[in-house]
Amino acid sequence: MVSSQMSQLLHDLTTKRDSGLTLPSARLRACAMVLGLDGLAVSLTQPGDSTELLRHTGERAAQLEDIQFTQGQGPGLEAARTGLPVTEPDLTTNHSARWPGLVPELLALGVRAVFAYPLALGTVRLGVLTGHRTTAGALSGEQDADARALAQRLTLMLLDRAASPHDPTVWLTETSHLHRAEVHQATGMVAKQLDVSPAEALVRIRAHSFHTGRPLLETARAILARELFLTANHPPAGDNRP
Amino acid sequence: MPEQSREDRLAAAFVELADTLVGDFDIIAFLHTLADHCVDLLDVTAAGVMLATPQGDILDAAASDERTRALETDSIDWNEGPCLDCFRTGKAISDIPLTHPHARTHWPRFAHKAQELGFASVAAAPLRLREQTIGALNLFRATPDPLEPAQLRLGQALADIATIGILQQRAVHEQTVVSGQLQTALDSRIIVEQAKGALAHMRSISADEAFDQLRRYARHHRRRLTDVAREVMDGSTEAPLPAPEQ
Repeated sequence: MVSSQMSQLLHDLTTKRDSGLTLPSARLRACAMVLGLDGLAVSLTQPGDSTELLRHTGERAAQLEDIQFTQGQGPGLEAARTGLPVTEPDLTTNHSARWPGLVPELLALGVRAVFAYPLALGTVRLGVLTGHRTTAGALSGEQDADARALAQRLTLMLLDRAASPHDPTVWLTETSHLHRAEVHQATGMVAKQLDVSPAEALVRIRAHSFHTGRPLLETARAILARELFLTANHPPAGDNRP
Repeated sequence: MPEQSREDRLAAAFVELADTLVGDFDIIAFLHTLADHCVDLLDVTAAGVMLATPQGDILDAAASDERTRALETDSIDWNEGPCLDCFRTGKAISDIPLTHPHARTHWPRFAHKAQELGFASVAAAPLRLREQTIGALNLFRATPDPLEPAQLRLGQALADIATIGILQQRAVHEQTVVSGQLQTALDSRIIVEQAKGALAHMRSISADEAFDQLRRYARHHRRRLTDVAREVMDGSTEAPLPAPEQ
């Protein structure tokens, strides 16, 4: 069922350790191509129905993850939560009842189709593999089978410490660049500025990004640069000081 | 209470042995269940179960009664017996009288002791799934007439269900453990990032400078970066913050 190209890629994924880095973006891009996708992203589940972006193939894929993270909803989050694949082959025909407020943002990003596959094994829910296309259309039967095989292999790679020269926990904490590092830094900063919990601080940052339409990472950078100060009041309309 | 038919008890035994994906799974209690079901459903007097540790050592894990338990312990101490042979070869041992030349030659002390305890014959079924043998099931009879092959096949079926259940439970447990470790590692990383931003605000420095200070402090005090970061975020008053000069 799995195509020979994907089989080869899966083999390369697990056997070739490129300078010790597990799952380099270049390999993920090759997978996206075989799947006929314009981008792929791998995110791990986080408490509170959230996810943390680990790897992505490009800016749009990263933004797709960030927008869902900001709004706390979306196909990726749903797949991660339910352990079931979630697909939207044509976002332009999307009924607004599903993920209200999200679809216009995705369309503005250029995304027309989304395919989210859970990274799960039995009851263990690790995260989600999210692919997208800039043109509408469903995945073919073969592409869907390939995507499921990739998701399964990624899950096993994350769980399998023995095969990897690098304990997954090590490559997560030490060698990996966390895409949202600045968002978490900004969270810490806002928490101390407003004397609120980190969770509360993050909610305010996300709300600011959502209301202003400013990308999450940009918002975070502005906070860190002391260009943007979130106030203690609701609604969190930011106070832009020079 | 009306006695259950043998078929009902057999069906119930299979269901019970398959039910291993429970939060409070106890392998020893589970193997006792296997031994008890064998005595109840098969034409045997007693049953014992040996289980191998991940390192490969064999343990006398469970037995249907005390004399059988003592016999299994002796078997391991003497390093001889049908259960051990069965475990090492992964092959079943059909019902053999303890007076048989094979028993006398291969398990001299075991055969003698077993007879002293009142047993007349013994059989063994491996706890095995494909290439993996994780233990063995010993079946003892007090009567000299042989155990029917169908009985041994049934014993093997019970052993098979138990084996699959044990292996599944181990796999799920391992996955749960690793998944938890991944979560913890990610949480720790996120807290370190938060602490950078927090310290940056408190000291009016950049996040990079804050990271330097956090690391130097952790190194100097031989503490884990994650723990220091957590204290910065908690704002716990006992935890001295990295001094600005460091």
